[in-house]
Amino acid sequence: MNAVQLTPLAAEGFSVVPRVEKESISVALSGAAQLNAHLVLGPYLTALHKECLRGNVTQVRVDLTQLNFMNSSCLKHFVTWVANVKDAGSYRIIFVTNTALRWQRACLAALRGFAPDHIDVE
Amino acid sequence: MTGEQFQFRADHVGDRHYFHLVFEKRPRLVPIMRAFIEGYTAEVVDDADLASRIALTVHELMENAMGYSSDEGSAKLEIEFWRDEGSQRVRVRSSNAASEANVKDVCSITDRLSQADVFAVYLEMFEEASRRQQGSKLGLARIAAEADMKICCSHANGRIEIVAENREARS
Repeated sequence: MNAVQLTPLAAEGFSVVPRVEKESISVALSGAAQLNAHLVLGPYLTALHKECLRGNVTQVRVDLTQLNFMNSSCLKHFVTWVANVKDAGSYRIIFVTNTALRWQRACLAALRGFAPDHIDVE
Repeated sequence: MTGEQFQFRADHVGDRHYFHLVFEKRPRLVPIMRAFIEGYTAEVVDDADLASRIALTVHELMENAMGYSSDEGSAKLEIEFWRDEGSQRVRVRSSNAASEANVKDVCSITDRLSQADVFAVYLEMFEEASRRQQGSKLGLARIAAEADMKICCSHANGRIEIVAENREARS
């Protein structure tokens, strides 16, 4: 894997903390992805995808355990990212969920249905 | 309770509970009401799963009303809880001023979501959303597919009404 550069993202009540490991990247989302979070989340996921391609990343772990809510505007950016991953076909996304949050079960089931060959949900 | 940006009233007649909210275009009100409604619903129906579904429904309907209302006037949200032959029923109703174009757009979405395989429609809408530059148009689909609510819309006198009802007792 080539050197990957990602910076943390902080918005009102919402943050993303990346961690680059040996052969994968992990990003931990926390707070609530709502209000104006979509304005920063979209560009962030676009940059993440580019870095994954540039760095020959094989796997991205997305930790949602501390994410209390995501609105449809932010979900749209995840859908777009997943569609780009489907097109590129070069790495997998593993979503780590919080089973106590019902919305995550329903939302991630749909995302996995959208790209079953590219997404795992834990 | 009355605030500058909203008024709400909760009431009940026997085991039938009602919640009425009138609100202005203030996006910060949405997460506040979502959290409140989730707690309120859990208290009324003693079902955390259903409370989460209603909270998601309220969030998306309020965002929809604020995003697409054709004026700065008040939008309304009403929730009704009742029991029917042992099943817990919930109906969430939102209404706001809407342009003809918005009515046409929303009603075409709810028509699609009335198909038998909501999940398949939702995945089609994911595909469309991934190619769209502006707006997600996923809010109503989330209500139908993720919150598992039957959803429909109607319009009269320049206002649109969206009704979401849980499917538990649907025949």
